[in-house]
Amino acid sequence: MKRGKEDILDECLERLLVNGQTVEQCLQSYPELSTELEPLLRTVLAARKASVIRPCPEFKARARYQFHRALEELKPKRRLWAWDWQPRWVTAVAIILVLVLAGGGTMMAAHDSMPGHLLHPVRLATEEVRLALTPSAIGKAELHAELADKRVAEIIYLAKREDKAAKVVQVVQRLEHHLTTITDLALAEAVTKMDHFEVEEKVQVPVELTAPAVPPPAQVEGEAATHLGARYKVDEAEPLAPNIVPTAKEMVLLEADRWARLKITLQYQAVDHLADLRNLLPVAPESAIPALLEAIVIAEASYERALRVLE
Amino acid sequence: MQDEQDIVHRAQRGDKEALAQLYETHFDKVYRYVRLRIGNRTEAEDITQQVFLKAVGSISTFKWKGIPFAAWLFRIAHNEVADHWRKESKQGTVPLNESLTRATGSAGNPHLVAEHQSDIEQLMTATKRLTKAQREVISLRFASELSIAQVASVMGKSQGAVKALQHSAIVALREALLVGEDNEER
Repeated sequence: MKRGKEDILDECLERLLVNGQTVEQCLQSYPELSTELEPLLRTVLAARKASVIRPCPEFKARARYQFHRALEELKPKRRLWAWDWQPRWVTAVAIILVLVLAGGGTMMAAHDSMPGHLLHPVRLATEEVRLALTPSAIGKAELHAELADKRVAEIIYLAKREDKAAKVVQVVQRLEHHLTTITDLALAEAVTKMDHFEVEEKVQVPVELTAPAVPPPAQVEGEAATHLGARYKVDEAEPLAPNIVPTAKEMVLLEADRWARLKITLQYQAVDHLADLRNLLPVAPESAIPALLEAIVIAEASYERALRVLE
Repeated sequence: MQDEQDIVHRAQRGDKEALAQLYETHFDKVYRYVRLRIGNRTEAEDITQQVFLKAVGSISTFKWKGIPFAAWLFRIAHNEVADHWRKESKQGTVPLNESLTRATGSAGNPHLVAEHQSDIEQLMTATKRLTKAQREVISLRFASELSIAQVASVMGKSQGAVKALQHSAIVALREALLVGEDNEER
């Protein structure tokens, strides 16, 4: 069957755009059509180059936030049991109540537990409760930053143990969840501000993951730093005198200050976490390497995204 | 393909992570398609958001019958753009030829930014000289990087018809770009 010009042009486009061949390579296959084909192929290359139109960062952030809000409104299709109606944190509270009744020592033991330990699910449940009981967006974001730090400590703990390396993947997913949630919370905050203020248009500049030129946040020293996580503690905002009720403006300023301090904490965490994870690569068992590499990629991208939103 | 099928199935069951993954994968490409078809940045932004909200609302109706998910999504975008043009023609408004700020992959270098913006403006002006079908095939193939089979599915045409349309669209685009260059020189 004789092939038409349309088919030959399309074949050349596939070779050019999908297989990465040059115009000259395509023309060599069809010398009799080269005069006709060449300008068309060059037109396509120019059109392809010019059509890399990227949505502006503010719009992208706003659209992503609205999309996620739409997802939140999606309801599960059916629920059969009363237990299913309870939010996760209610379940967690129930578990913790049982354990509190069983004894405070159990709670303490759970607090220090690592993945694979019997009480580790209690530690995760406690975290869920803390998140659920933290009302403000900045409070939740700070807590997620603290938990991200703990997750990295858990990854380090697991990756050094041959028998537990398979669990690294699950912790990496939790780490990603914490960092993504910080970004979402910061985006929501930015969108709320956008509703009231004209946002200055700016070109998206990649964020460099380097430590800031200010002193690091308070660190937990020694053994706890490597094994228990939470190396960085976000400073509490300066308390106002107890009998003074802050004005609305003061509240806004206090909150802005906490976001600024969270950004500094994240800058330090980003640098340290990536260094910690990379340092593990030469010593970790082979079975943990793919998950560690994934953790590095996820941590790098997630911190960059979170810091860009906090800019 | 198997991976995407799995993600789409999870999304259809209401898995928010899967829905978010589909959103991130296709957002920029859908925006580029809409932007090149519409021209106006604000309207393109609104339409792109609508496309994804509609997709979330109707993803349960999508069925794997050899049609990739991207084709289904771009079909929604195609319908949204068509609706937009219908409303525009009723109101008798003309699309704005606004400046194309911030639409660049050359972030950080003002010279490259300006150069790229000029390329985009040239392309947008040139595509306005094409027929709607020609503009659609150029947008889908070269801005959104869809295959011939996917474009055929979005446009409801045979692959042969899309290849013929693609050929005529590129010839017309080349002529339109040459006209643009001549006008600039004068």
